[in-house]
Amino acid sequence: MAEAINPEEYQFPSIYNFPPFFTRQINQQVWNSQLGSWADLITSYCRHHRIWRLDATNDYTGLFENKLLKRKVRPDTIRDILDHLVASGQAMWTDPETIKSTSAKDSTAISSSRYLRQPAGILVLWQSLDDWAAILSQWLADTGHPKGSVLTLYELLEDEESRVPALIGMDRQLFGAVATKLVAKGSAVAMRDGNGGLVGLKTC
Amino acid sequence: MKRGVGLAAFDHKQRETQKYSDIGATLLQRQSDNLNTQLSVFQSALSNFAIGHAHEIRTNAQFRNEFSKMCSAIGVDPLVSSSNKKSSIWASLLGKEVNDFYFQLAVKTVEICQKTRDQNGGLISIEEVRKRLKKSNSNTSVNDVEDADIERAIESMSVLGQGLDIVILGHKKMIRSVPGDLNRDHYKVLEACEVLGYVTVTMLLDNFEWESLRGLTVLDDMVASGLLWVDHQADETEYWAPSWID
Repeated sequence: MAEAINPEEYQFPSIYNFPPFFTRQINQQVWNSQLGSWADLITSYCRHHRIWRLDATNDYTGLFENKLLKRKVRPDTIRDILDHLVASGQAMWTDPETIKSTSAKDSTAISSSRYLRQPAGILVLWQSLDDWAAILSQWLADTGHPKGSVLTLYELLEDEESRVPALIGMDRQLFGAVATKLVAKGSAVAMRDGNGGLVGLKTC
Repeated sequence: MKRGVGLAAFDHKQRETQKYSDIGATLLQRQSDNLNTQLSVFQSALSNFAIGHAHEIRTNAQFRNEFSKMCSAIGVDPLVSSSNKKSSIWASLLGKEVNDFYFQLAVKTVEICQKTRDQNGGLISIEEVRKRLKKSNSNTSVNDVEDADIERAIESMSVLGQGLDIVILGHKKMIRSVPGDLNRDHYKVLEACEVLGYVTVTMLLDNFEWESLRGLTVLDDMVASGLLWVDHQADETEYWAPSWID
């Protein structure tokens, strides 16, 4: 997924080498600051590597385990950290609908309540939706697309000739949310296929 | 010939005492005048020196330190206001700027203490504060500071009450910004943490001969108040000092 690989290695913050960072702290203020440190780490790590999604399929990119220290964050604590990211506007749930259906299906197999609280996936907003929307409108203005130009998702995100540099490889769901912002501002119209899926934008 | 044994002798004696004490007073007066002159000469020399080197005092940490040492060696505390003047000697000698330097430094230090309090339970090393000041860097006037400057800035605020003070852990000077009920056991644990970054109940048993229950009680207490972070994933639960994060 990371198409523009950042040549420089990511510098982990020093707290990542502090063993108790991987255990949920009891004191509420300490826990709040711990949550803040996790949020900073996740957003800066994802920005560095241009990672859009964190979920079980990519093992949360391994971020919640420090192999050197042999420490890892418990799944229910991961869920709390993701909750915090979403609540503080630094992430969005990936497709909330599917979370419900999978947990309902799997609950027959495993009844542990911790499993039910198994973290879902998030889209990491290392740039806010408004910022992404502003970047996209700026690009549309700078490149002088006339009113009524039609741009497909492929053209916007993939095609080397036409793509928006800042948005290269952007997750489609995230792009959908950015597009919605743009549509709300009246600077574009969403073009959809028969199933209502976003296929492109028409400038206006 | 014997001198007056009459009542007049008392008068005489009184006059004599009076004279002696007059002479004494004049001597004292002269001495004190002398000292005053010396002092004012000295003060104006100090003042001239300070004004002549104001820029260096402001910008050069080492120079500032030497100047401070010189002042304290002769019993002048440049930061504490004297009773008959509104402003401190820094202020009156160097204009507001140097005084403001320490004031700003104090404010920045308090800000750092507050910002990190959740993480460290209100105990931070002076060294760490200095590092953070350097990193934040936004305000160039408190750029080049030494630990002694920070210490001085904190001491200058002691007039405001018990909010901040400096405690010594092992060989490290720490700023404490929590109104303190740190007892001796807490200090012992924090000092022990200086070695490896953490302690365990067994380590406390081995080193201080604290029975497990006492060790555990102290440690749990410190975790609850945010002074220590707990790591349940070690073979034996480890209790870490947050100062080891950096």
